[in-house]
Amino acid sequence: MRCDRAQAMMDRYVAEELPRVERVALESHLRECPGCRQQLAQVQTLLRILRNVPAPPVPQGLVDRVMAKAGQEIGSQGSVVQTCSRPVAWWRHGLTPQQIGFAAALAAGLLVGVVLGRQTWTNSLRTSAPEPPIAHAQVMDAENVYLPDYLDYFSSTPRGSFPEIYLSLTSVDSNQEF
Amino acid sequence: MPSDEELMSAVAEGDLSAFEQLVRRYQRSGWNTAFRLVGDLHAAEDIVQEAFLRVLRAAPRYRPTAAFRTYFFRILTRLCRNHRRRNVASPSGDLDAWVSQGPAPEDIASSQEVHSSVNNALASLPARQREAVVLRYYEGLSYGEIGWVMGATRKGVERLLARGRAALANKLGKLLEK
Ligand SMILES: [Zn+2]
Repeated sequence: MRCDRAQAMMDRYVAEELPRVERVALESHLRECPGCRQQLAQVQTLLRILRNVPAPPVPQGLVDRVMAKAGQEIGSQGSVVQTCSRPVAWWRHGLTPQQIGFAAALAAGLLVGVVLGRQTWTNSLRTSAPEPPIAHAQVMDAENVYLPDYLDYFSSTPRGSFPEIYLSLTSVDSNQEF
Repeated sequence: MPSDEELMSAVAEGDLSAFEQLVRRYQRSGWNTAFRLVGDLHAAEDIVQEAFLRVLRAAPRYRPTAAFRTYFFRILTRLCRNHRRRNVASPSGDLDAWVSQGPAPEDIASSQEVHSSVNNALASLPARQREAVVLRYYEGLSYGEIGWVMGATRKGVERLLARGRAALANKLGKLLEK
């Protein structure tokens, strides 16, 4: 076993999470490698020091404030239960009837455009538009479920944007640090 | 005692007392995590409140395919990330200051010094390393759970943690020699 591999496993070793095979391999490396033994001691000390640093106490009345806001949200719409399973948060954020009317007109216009466009598309290509891959749809659905953050236009990868979906699909990992 | 997931189904049915139980269960870890990730008392409170409200809004669409705990941390971590993007200027904020506010036992000077170095070291980590370190060493999430929360592979999590530990050890060199 190489030292970098051994060191990467140390924190699961300390937490007793390593499967037996890996634990045995690591222990045999530790017996032969004073550098890694020293490293292990350092990891143990580091974790002990980290855990000894408390966070400040939870602000008093936090639960009450959350419950008051929750009551307001539910009071403003009658019930937490939504009659429709699609994301509906947009209409709860204070749209005026005019805005809704405008949105409806816009949507109708878009629909007409899509229908016409699709006819042209199918006529010219003699093929229907491809269904999105399942994983793609699931990711989008999952994102809507986890974070109904429809106003996230300002981040570098706005929710629902192609880069955002791409990043979720490719399981962003440590290379994306900043 | 009902499980988190059972409480979530009750919340989806409009049961506010089930929601309150979830808030009580998670206020501490939610608060600790938000504070350690943003380092600002006011921002941390806003973020925790918002995370709980998002849980409430999403409850009708929640499916227990992931444990509630990781689901909650995912929402919370995203909110912290958005906050940091908007507030690049304050990397440590209150992280450093709050320790001096408590009552003072005799040896508190040295422990405050330790706390403040640890908090500064934590605040100096790149965002994703900081998330991985906090979720792992303070909240005790597994690599798989952290991967799900952060959208990273297990290997990615392992690398983030290894780099995070190395950076912390580097910053806290003197403390580790004791
Ligand atoms: Zn070695």
